[in-house]
Amino acid sequence: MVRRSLFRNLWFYALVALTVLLSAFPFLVMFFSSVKIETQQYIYPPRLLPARLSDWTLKNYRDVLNPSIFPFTRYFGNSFVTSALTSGISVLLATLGSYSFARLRYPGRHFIQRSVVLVYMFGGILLVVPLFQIIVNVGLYDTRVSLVIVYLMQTLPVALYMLGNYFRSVPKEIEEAAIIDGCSRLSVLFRVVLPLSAPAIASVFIYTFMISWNEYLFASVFLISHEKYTLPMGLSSLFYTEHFVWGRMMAASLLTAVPIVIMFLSVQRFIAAGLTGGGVKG
Amino acid sequence: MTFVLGSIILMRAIWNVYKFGEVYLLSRHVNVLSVYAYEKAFASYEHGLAAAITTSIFLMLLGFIILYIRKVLKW
Repeated sequence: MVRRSLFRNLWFYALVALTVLLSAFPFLVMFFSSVKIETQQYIYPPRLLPARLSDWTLKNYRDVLNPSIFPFTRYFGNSFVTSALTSGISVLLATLGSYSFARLRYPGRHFIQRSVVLVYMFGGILLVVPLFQIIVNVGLYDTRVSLVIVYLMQTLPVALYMLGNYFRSVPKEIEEAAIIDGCSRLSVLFRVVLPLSAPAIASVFIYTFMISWNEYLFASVFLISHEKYTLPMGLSSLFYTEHFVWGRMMAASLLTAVPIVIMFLSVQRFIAAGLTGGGVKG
Repeated sequence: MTFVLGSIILMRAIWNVYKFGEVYLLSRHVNVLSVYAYEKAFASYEHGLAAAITTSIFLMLLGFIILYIRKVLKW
């Protein structure tokens, strides 16, 4: 590591601290608002921490989890099923697709590969009108299946791109050895490449899960009945009901953010470690 | 370094023009093009107008997209 003077080090840490503070502050506000009683939300000047011990409360969390006030568990279930389905299918399709990009030769391979990246340049808002018309005409309006299809369309390009890059980094020699030992292409993929690519698979899974978990635009357009809402839709609808209370809103938002954070933390160690190191000698 | 920074800035710029959810949910009074298109399409059901708006967003960004494809993806 390059040695720096004490002054430059201080400067560096100050900037890091500032960045951390800037990105963490909204979460702190969210957390403390969710544990404050109602009257504390509107005091002026605003305070981050509740002033007295009696101002702390867990009532907001009880309310949010109470189905007669806010059907949090139902929305959570909808979001979870949609996101899990999307990420599962996305990982499966992207594995097959990106392996073919990385290793197989067939006419039009480069063209298809480039078109996939090009799709990434079309944001959701550009496609919302045509997709809405397609979904309505196909008869999938107000179904959760329509969301899975659209999220797949949104996440596959990046999934293909990420996995393709990773597959290229898996040493060819390992695959050749497996083929000599009698594996077919498909069993090379599933028995050799896939286990070695576990970190990439995990990050693609989480990425896809996070995108579909947080997606608002398509959920707001394709769903009309309340019992099918995903969490972002549910949260924004809570905003416009008589049950709207800042503390509840923040408690629900925090509970929405928790699964993603848990997923990240649980696989972080796993993603950081490379698995192919030392696989090839000579 | 300049290349990495430049490509990230370009990519984020393109994507921030498409950004809808954050803007719409934070305030209904910030009329960026994506919110305008959404309201035309799903509040007043003028799908044709909304499609025209989104197409113009795309045409507006086409230069940046071509720049990105040429310089970053190197086609």
